Amino acid sequence: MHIPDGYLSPATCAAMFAGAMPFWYVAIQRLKKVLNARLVPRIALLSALSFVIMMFNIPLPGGTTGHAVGMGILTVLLGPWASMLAISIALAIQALFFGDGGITCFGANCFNMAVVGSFVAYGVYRLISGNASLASPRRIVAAALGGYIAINVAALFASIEFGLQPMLFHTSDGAALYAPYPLSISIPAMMIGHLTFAGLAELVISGSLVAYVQKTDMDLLRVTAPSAADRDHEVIEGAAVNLQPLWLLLAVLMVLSPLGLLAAGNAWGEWSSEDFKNPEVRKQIAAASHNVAPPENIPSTFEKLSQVWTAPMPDYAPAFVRSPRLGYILSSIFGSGLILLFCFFVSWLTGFGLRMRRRGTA
Amino acid sequence: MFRRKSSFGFLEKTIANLGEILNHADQATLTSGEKGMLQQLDPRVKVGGALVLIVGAVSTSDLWVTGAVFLFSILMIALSRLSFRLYLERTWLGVLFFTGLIALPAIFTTPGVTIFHLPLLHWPISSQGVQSAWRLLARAETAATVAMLLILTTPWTHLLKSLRFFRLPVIIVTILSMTHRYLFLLLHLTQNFLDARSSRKVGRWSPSQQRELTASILAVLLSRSLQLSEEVYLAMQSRGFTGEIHILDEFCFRKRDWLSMMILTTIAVLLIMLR
Amino acid sequence: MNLFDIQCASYRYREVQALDSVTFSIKRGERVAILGANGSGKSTILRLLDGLYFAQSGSVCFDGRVLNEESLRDEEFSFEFRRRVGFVFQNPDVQLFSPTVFDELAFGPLQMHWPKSKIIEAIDSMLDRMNLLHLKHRVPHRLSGGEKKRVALASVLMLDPEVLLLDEPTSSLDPKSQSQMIEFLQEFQGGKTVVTATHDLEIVGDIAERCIVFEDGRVAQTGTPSRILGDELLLRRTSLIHEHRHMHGFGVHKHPHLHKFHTHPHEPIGRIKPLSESPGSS
Ligand SMILES: Nc1ncnc2c1ncn2[C@@H]1O[C@H](COP(=O)(O)OP(=O)(O)OP(=O)(O)O)[C@@H](O)[C@H]1O
Ligand SMILES: [Mg+2]
Repeated sequence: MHIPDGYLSPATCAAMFAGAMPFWYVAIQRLKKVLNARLVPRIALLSALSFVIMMFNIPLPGGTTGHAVGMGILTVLLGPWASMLAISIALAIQALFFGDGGITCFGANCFNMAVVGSFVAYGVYRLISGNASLASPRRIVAAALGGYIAINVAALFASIEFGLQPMLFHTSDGAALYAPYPLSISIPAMMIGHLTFAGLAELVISGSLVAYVQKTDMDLLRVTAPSAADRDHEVIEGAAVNLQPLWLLLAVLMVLSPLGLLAAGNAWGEWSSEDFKNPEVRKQIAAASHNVAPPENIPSTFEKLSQVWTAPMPDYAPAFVRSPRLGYILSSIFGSGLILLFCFFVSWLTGFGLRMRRRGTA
Repeated sequence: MFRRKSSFGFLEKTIANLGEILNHADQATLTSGEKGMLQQLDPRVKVGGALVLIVGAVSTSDLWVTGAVFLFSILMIALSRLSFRLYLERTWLGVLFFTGLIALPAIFTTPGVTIFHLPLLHWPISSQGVQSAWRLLARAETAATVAMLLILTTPWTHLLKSLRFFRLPVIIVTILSMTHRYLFLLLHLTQNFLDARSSRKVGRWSPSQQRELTASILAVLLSRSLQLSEEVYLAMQSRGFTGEIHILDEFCFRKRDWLSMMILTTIAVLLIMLR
Repeated sequence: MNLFDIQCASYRYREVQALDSVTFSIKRGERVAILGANGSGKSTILRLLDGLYFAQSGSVCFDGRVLNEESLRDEEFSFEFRRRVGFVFQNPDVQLFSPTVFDELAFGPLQMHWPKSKIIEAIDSMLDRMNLLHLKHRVPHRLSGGEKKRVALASVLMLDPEVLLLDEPTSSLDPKSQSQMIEFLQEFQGGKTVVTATHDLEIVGDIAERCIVFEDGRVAQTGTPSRILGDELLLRRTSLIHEHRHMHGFGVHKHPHLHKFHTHPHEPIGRIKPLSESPGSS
């Protein structure tokens, strides 16, 4: 997911820097204000750990391997703000010292993995773990899913940034200036790898490391569990889910998703005039892009989805609102919504399981 | 009989990754100590220059400009006494392979004027597609070459200090340098773990055992990181650290730095005018 | 007057009682060795003396003032305390956290708000004094274990502390660097208080005039080096020496391993016959 230089237009890069900047600013201000001197070496060491985690080939079911980032475990141990700084720093060292991930795309990479990754991981973790005790297995599930969903949402952001390039930046005869694939290809191509390999790797790492911390130094979990009960047998008010992280997550998604739209500016009009690729060509894409699932089907699903959003728009609305591209973006927001609902469901389920177990032992 | 592929291959791949990183670090230390042209420049000039060149190469729509930047960096490789073989192996081929693989399908997927049909498969190749792929590759190669120049001719510690000049907060520079410093400790530690594990090839491991092994190694690394961070904190405290950080900025601009600064500014202006 | 006064101090990590009601004191200008086997609590007591950890019961006083969270939150006192007391950690890796040796040496003075020119000057003379000038711009992960130890010591000495707490200063040093280090510590003396934690009996006589022997987080014995080193029973009980079996010629015999040059009577406790004498062989 490390975007190299040359894939994103300078305008996108600038927009992504601008997007990440306020988060960095707040994170640094918070770090200074808390002035928890202990945090300085801890962020540094965990940032180094995240770098090492990125080096690892994590074995997955079926003999495959995947790469994780460590967003899940870093967020649980540091909270979203410090974790954002830690991941940004790991990415900075990769870009500046190892030439891994572009310098102009540094803002975009940080935005996707550090900012979005940390907040999504935090939101999901808080949502699912609720008020569970620090030793509760529910925290393991929460961290694992937090990592899984975070890396996927981050990948979704990256794929949207990719996919917007050919629409916004092309020569007069239609050759792409930057990343050449439209959303209909970039989203599925990126997400298939992340929903499976990278996502699972992140899931395994986040879950097992939180389990390890529970066994060895449980107090470290207190940072992101302000209201957790201390001991396992204490009664948990499972139903009282703190809504704050949810709002945070929603706000992040709402604010950030249309960022690309805003950056697009006047280019929207051009879309409708641009002719849409014929289905035959699309079949060939599928074969050519190393057998990543046939995008032929996915775009059509997306197109249907997009109509859900664009169809109710009145005829007199500007052309771009009815554009299928807007539909794609809205449907990715829709997808994030589905993920949220899923979290609610898991949260309810684990809480339910715990309550049942307790009732059984009581 | 059907045999599963080597079950410790996953460890070997990670070991290879680590080896490459450590190797890279060694190389950079060596090359940045050479007496080449770029090595003599102030790191701030180099960071600024690399930024100007990369942004220029990336933002121009004229491929000739990108090409000029590329040729300029090739010239710099020679003047800075860097090995072309190292460059080819490490940067050029790497980018060619990675970006090439990504760019190739675009030849077929981009709609436009068909200039050629692939024999047998009859896939159309569009002129726009070729242009798109070529552009992506050219930009990626050029930017990576410039970045490599910066990395291989500037000691990390200088790079770090020059970041202060670009108004990065002290606290971030401090964390960044500490991360870099302990990264090597963790990398060596990981390498030792993995070498010990992979040389002790105890039969074949099932995927779940592999996963357990990886998780246990990472768990040890995590606990080591946390323990180190705690002790580093004590050591800092013992020498008077209270959370407020002070660092020593000790750079002075020399004549050649001013000169290259001016050349850079000229290049930047030219690039902007050429757009 | 006592510089350090430790009264019934206890410290407990999560599951380990590292210090159990420890009482002793250290006079100004005294050179003290804290002896003890691995895990006996040497590093922990040094951290208490340096105000990094605080006694959970009992008290640790420095120069008449008790060391606790509150007293060290007093900026003036904490500033003075940090300037006057230097601590060289057992693991030099945790102490060398800066990008280069130069920055490492500059860290302490910067925290103490020294002017820039004075810092640069002081670093050069310190590096010269410690024979480290050639390492000035090295990054710490490219130093050998012995070099790391010396740089760590140099970085602590930058502030010219009047109390030096040393945790295993000679471990992982080769014999030459070890004797250099000891020579240096002897030179460094001169009215300064030096507290050294070690389990290396060989150096005790050179670096201390009083020993405090730790055993499982308690003070087992205090006394002059010659008295402590002569008390074989105590040393054996606290695992500072162990039975040493070795061969002289054909005889195997045991004696306490004293880690210092000594002579001992050779009464064989067993005899291995040379091959040619053994009856079975032909
Ligand atoms: N951070 C820690 N967390 C938990 N237990 C610890 C920690 N540090 C030390 N201990 C335990 O406290 C006891 C005393 O440790 P300490 O480091 O003071 O011993 P030491 O005498 O310095 O040993 P060594 O000679 O090995 O350095 C040991 O049993 C050790 O396992
Ligand atoms: Mg110790």
